[in-house]
Amino acid sequence: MIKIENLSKVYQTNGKNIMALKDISLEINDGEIFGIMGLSGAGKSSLIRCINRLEEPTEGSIIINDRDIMSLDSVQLREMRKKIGMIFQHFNLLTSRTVYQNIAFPLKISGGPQDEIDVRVKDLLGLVGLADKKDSYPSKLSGGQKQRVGIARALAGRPTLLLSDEATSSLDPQTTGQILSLLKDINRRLNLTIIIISHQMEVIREICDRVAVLNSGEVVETGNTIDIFSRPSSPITEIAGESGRVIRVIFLGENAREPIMSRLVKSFDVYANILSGNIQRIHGEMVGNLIFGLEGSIENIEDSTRWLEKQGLQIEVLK
Amino acid sequence: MKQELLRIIRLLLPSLGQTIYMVAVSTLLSVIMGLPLGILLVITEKGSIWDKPQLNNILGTVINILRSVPFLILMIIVFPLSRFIVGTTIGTTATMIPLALAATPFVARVIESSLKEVDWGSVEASISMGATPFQVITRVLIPESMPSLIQGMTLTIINIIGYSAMAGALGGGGLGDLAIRYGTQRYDTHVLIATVAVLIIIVQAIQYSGNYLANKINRR
Repeated sequence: MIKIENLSKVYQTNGKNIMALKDISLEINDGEIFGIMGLSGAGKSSLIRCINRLEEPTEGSIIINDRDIMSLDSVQLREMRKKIGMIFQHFNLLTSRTVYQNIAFPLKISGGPQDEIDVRVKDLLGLVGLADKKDSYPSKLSGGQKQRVGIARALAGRPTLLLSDEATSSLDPQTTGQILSLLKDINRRLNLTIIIISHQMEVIREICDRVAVLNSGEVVETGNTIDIFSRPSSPITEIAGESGRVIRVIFLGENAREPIMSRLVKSFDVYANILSGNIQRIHGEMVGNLIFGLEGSIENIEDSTRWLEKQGLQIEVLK
Repeated sequence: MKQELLRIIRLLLPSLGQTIYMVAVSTLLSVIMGLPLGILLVITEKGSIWDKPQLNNILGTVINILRSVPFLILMIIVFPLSRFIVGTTIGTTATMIPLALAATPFVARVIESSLKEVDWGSVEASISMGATPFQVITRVLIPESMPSLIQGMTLTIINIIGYSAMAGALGGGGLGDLAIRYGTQRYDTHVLIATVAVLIIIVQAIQYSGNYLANKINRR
């Protein structure tokens, strides 16, 4: 269990105090995938970097497995860090080392016997599916392969916690999917707690059990991923990482039975990405509530918005 | 013609030997002194792995002062030091002291700029894995910047060759000394040309080997 209590972080720049994190309290259960989402500048990165003290919190405590990491001296902190894996947006692999040497790196600095390191690295290469790339240098790998090396490296010391700092943000959607399923697989197989920060809603929605939404350094919402994403009033829609338009549609009565979405996508060259939706029966009437993102050319998005209005639907352009 | 060539070679060889000896030893000495300084310059910077901004300021200032002293003047200033260490102020061995001293701040800056090229992300990743500051230096900063460090060393050696020729003017021996004594003072143009040619070849060879080595180990 990870308990973050009243955590604050203040930066000083040019004599001014900037409050990056304000009084944050969170509990993260063992074995869960916990997502922290928010726009850039919301403080996500500061928060995750406080957890292994890559950044020093200004106030508050972080308790990991009953130990307050704020009370650790530098030697104890290094030992603690060996049990917390971390993966990064830009992978941060060592360019002068091969895939094998990169994965062996954390084991080498801990100073175990070479034959044990060898066995462990080979296991990890298999786990992330890169056994055939072991002697390649990172510059010869694709982004997805680099992140697999990053994951293997982070797992080398058999951590109890994995921190993921925008680990899929520089990957294409397909590779993102593969990395996410690898993370999910690792989470299940090793019962590893994973904390993920991301500005990509789809990433959080895809694999997180629970979510905290961060805005201007404050936690504005915490809860199960399903609950947060299905609540229509959720501020999540505002912080949607959607690049296109975000629309809320209220269906009433007969409309709720119409295949509006399919017709929309078929008639206009747009992609619709459902962010949240539900259908409720209120006083015997069906009321549908759907929030979705539209992507495509500006014209097509305008046309489809107008078309939706013509269908007698109540629509609201959220973004 | 043949005799002239032999005469020149006879003159050149011992001087060449002296230059190589002088440059090799002073390069080694300047790296021994400059490497820790260069590393300190990087790690004591604000936000780096051994955050000591005041020490960083002091180091930077001292290095800048040392670098602004012209080499000839530095040589004269350290005469007492050379006499104390080597027992004399003339000759090849004595010249190595000012050479190494002059090159040290240069080496420190070259190493500083190479180490700063290392992606901070990989430093941070190694810290997140529990690396000690010493491990960050020896296993991340230095190996990651090796191609650039080799280029920097090439630059340093060529610089020291230049200085060593200057040192020749103050009784330092080596090719510079030869060029002055024969080429300038005796108007022996052949020797002068031969000396310059040899220096050009040495510098080219060092630059070429440096580039080759740096490229060979570059994995970026």
